[in-house]
Formats: sequence, structure tokens, C-alpha cells
Amino acid sequence: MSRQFLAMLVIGLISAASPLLTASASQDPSRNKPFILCSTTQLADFTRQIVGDRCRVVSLLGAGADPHTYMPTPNDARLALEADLCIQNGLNLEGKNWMGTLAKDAGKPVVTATDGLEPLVLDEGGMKVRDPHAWFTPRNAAIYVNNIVRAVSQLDPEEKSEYEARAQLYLQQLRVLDAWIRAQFNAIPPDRRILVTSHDAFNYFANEYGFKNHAPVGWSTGSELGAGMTPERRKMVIDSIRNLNVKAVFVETSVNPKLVREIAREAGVKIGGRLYSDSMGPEGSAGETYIGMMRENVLTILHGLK
Amino acid sequence: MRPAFVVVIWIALMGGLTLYMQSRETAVVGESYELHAAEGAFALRITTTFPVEPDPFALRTDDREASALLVKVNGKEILRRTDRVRPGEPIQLEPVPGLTDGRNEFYLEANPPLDDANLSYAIRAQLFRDGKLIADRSFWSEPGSRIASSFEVSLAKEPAVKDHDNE
Ligand SMILES: [Zn+2]
Repeated sequence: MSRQFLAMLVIGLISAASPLLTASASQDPSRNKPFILCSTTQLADFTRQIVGDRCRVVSLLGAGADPHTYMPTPNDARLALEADLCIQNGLNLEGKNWMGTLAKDAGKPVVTATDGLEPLVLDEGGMKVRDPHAWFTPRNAAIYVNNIVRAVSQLDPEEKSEYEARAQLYLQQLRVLDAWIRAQFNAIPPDRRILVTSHDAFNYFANEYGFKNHAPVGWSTGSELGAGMTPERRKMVIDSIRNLNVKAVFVETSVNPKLVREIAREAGVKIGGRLYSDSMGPEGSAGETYIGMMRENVLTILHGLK
Repeated sequence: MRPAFVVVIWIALMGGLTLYMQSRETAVVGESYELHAAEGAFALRITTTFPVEPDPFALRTDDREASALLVKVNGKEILRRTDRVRPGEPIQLEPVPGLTDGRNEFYLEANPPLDDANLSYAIRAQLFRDGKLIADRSFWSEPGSRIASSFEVSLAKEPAVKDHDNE
């Protein structure tokens, strides 16, 4: 009796527990997560700050990659087919609209993170272009975050309140970052706030924090090999470095430093360091997040110009 | 006989386990109790030492404008200003909806200008019951951050008041 009873009891307990086991397996967070595909590292970081582990987030660009000249690979097209949502910067940062094209070809919705933002308009040899490097102020980053939180809440309405709660915390971190940047730059006299960088990525940053910005190459590195870099432009940059008594010029992590090095040599100034510009730093580096990248840029600029 | 006995025991065990699993989820839900609206005419006055401005870092999930000043009572929004409020200009809210007998929590959110990131700012909230001041709290911001503070007011039937804050 007792052996038979025990056997039946064990079978009964296992069969009763099995629905519980399968239920917890179906709640396995790694399964059936919404998949969000971002064009740049900054967008992927903003998205991760909002979704936590609820979604899978992938950036097509790696650390140090250049969005202006990027050519999508067959693997990118495969990822777009898997994605539930695509996020792009917009304002023509993704040269030749590569992210929009990938999403369209895969039949996937694409959200533009700069929607509703007031872009700076640059004069590029008589042509008016909207500056795409809008993430360079925390105030604009807040617009990115709000656009992304709306899009992911629509994609996965069940977790809306959680996405909003994370976004709320992150927005306050951006606010603190903004205040910290202002306090740091307070140490540089306004006349010394001159930022010479490889390409024209720092206009929003310069406007927000009282810098004059000079870049020998236009807003897109796509023109780096000639079109954007004219002898007049080069002369103008060198003249302003000399006239304004600029202490240092800066190279960027996503742009070939050759040109800036030449200009520094010619103008007789030092290289102040490398700034994170169109993409963030690799995993494990200080610049692997947006806040980290901004913090390191500010400290590099401070160190170079003091 | 014996197999039938085992089946009966098995059904009893499984039934008990299923009942337990079902009741487990509902058992943690607390009892609800009725809240009574507090008696009296209440007014709230808010004064700031800084120009209150719409917050560029506000969470914006709908088409509503970002708030400059926000007041909630017991989790419900009772005041929302989206325009600029000058320093020292008192904002009076009368009546104050949502107050109940017992403990009430006020939540204040105010956004100082971004430019003066090195300064701390203050906001003062005063609660009146039938014209008498019953709570008076001031909160300071950390330099560069917005003010987000809450304070509690206990309202008894008699207008005797004890208040304490948790900033
Ligand atoms: Zn760029």
C-alpha cells in the first residue's frame, strides 16, 4: 500500500506542478521580447534606459562608426526583418536615409527621435541644411527620450507605466547632467570658449553652453574627402585659431583625425583630446552611455582649454 | 479498494493545492475602507523665490504642455501651471479638492530656470482651514535640479493639526 501510495503521490505532485512550471517558462524574459532596432548608439542607449530588460535593443552602428557614410550590410537587413520597431535620428544623419530604407524594405514601423525638435539650420556653401547632431544637448536628448517612450508604449502598451517610470528617472538624470555641464564650463572665461573639432557636430552643444564653434569640415563627414573642405574654410579655421588665441583643438572618435592634426600643426596649437561625437564609446569605456560620453567630452574640453 | 482510496487522496491533495494557488494571489490584496471628505473650507497658497518655468525635462506622453508647477493631493493632480510664474507671486487654490479625514499627502513639483544651475531655490506651501493657517512648509532645491517634494497633513474632525514632511 505505502509504496503504491507514495508512487501515486509523487506522480500527482509532478502533474499538478507542471502547469506552474510551464507558466513560469512562458514568462521567461528572454522569450518573445519586443525587438527594437536603432540606427545609432545614442538612440540605443536612450531606448535601453526606457525599456530596461523588457525589450531587446540593438544598435546597427557600433562604437566609433560614422552614420553619415554608413553602408548597411545584409545582416542589418535581416535584423530589420526581425525587428518590431525601428528608431532613427532623422534630419538626414543617416546618410542617404539608410535606416528609413532598411525599415521600409522590411515593412517595419520607423520612429524619428528628433520629431518635434527645432533644428539648427546651417549654411553650407549657400545651401541651407538642418543640423542632425541634435543629441548634443541634454535638453534635446529629453525630446528624443519622450519620442521613444511614446513609441515603445504604443508597441507594448502593457508595460507603458513601467516605461514611463524609467523615462521619468532618466529625464531627471539628463537635467542633472545639464546643470553639471553649466557649472563645469563656468570655469572657462567666455572669451576662451572656442571649440575646434573635426566635423560640424557640436553646434547644438556650442549654442547651449556659450561656445564658438569652428569645424574645418561641414556637418557631414561624407564630404570629408573634398567637397566640404575648401581652402577658404581651412584658412578661416586656422586664422580664427590664431586670432582668438585658441589653446587646443579636438579630434573625434568617429572621424579620421588626420585633417585636424594638420590644422593643429599649421596653427601651432595642441590637440586637446578625443571627443565622442557621432557614436559613443565601446562597451566598458567611460563613453559607453550617453551621460558618460557627455561627461567625458566636457572634462576633455575643460582640460584642453584651461 | 486500495486504488480507489489512492485516487480519493490524490484528488483531495490536488484540490487543496489548486485552491491554495488561486487564493495565494488574492490574499495579499488589502481591505478597502471608505474615505471621508474633510470638513471645512480649505485654501492652498504657494509662493516661490524663483521664476517657475515649463520643464524641458518633463515626461511628455500626451499632447499636454509640460508643467511648470504641479500640485497633487493623495496622488490626484489638483493644480497644473504651464505658464511662467513670477517669483514672489502667490498662487492661491481655493477650495482644495481631495482632502480627507486622516492623513493627506501633498506633492509639489516646480521647475526653476536652467540657466542659474548654481543656485538653490525655495518654494513655500501654506494650507488654510476656514481662514486659519494649519500647515506651512518650505522646500529647497538642490542646485540645478527641480523641486519635487511631498509633505503630509493630518486632518482630524476637529481642526487640530499635526504635520510632518518627507522631502
Ligand atoms: Zn556627424
